[in-house]
Amino acid sequence: MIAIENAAKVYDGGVTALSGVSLRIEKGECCCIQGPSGAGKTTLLNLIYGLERPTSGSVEVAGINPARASHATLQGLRRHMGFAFQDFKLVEGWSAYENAAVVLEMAGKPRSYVRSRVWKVLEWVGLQHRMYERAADLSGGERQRLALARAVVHTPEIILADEPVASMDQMSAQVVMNLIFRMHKRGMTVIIASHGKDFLNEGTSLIRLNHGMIEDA
Amino acid sequence: MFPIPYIARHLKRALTLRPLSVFLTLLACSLAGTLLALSVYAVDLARTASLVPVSASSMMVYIKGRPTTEAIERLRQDLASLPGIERIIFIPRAEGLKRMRHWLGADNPLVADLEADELPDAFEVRLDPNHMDQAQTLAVRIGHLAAIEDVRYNQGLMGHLAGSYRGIMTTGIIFAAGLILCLGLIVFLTVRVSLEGRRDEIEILTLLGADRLFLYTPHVMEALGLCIAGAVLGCLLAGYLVEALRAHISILQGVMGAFNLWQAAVVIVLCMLLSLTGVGLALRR
Repeated sequence: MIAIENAAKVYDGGVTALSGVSLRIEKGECCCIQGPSGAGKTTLLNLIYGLERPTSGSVEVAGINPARASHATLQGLRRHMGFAFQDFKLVEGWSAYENAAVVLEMAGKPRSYVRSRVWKVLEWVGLQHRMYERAADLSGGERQRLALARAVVHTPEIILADEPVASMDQMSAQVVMNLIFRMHKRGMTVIIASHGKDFLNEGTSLIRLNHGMIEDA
Repeated sequence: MFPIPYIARHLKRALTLRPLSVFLTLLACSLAGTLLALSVYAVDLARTASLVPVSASSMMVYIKGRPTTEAIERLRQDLASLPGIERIIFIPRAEGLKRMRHWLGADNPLVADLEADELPDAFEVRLDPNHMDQAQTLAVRIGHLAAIEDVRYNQGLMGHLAGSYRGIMTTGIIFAAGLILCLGLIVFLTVRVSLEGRRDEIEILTLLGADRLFLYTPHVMEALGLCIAGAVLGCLLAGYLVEALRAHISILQGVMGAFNLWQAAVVIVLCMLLSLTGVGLALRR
């Protein structure tokens, strides 16, 4: 499903984020990427999501190279993925409901389905009582849970989670990771990037990344 | 399929976050719509007038200088040879002065001290009822005769309108083009302001995989809504103004018709087209 061949990413300032990374993630796999800050975890997820282009090497997701795909193809590919961003990327002025619902509205789902689905997913992440609060008024942990809810609400084929429990207490983190693993059990391909080691052993594969290179897989 | 709840939320947000801006845009659209509606009405009225036969039944033909009796007779024959003339009556200047004193009153300062010699001799030309619609052509032909000073006939308001059709149409088109440009700019700026306000939102939605149709449909709907509402309000106001004119100026009642649905449809369609153009330009930038 996801094939990365010898991918490297060097930023304009000469900083090497990834160097010769080769990776293959099959459909239904739960791949955990662990490494310290600056190891290249976020860059790797960005390459898969098509937010960045590799300097060399190639990335293929479901047979599509995001770096070479047209805008329409890339957007179509993104609609089949869910990304819980490290910095959440929530629309601050919108309510929690609106932030989660927009992904389903993009897919043209009927209003009744959108309502029931968003309600259910916000309940999973424990945010149903704050459904009509603005995203800007939520706490860091709540915003992270909302970002994850938005990433899974449309039952995508691939879920990317960048530091999904970074700003959460142990209990909330457990809830969120349970949700992610539940999605995996439903057949979704999950890629989690985290600097911590907690919860990551529950994945089907674990990759250790350091200085932009795979240390251990 | 249009994301209706998403569009509805955008419109509601636009109304609540920038109500003054929406109100001013609607006001500007309504005023432009009113002026556009009046331009369309004026051009249509002049066009209608140009299709109606001129209702003159006689015309005054003034003769140059002091013609001899023979010259007057030759001129009478020349006039008689033209088609559409039923009767020609020679009116010497003394008779002309008598008529003027009769119409204006003998004490009127315009004619009180006037000498007959200061006036021209004239012919009163009565038109054949079957050729009344050719009065204008006939007047031009008579005017081209060498001994003729001037030709006057009562065209009525419709006649004047018909005569000015090209001028009214040209003015109307220039005026309407100016209004369309202004309205297009209003739509363009409104959409640009709205897009600026949504910059972060659009960036995030693009990250989530939103296509252009999803991102920009709310703007198209907002601009279309404002322009159509403005055009409808403009047509209502123009209709009211036309009715007020007809009610208060009796001479206009027989000439001016009511502002009709066809004219309103032209205004609304024009506004819709230019709102789409304005949105298109704003989104291309």
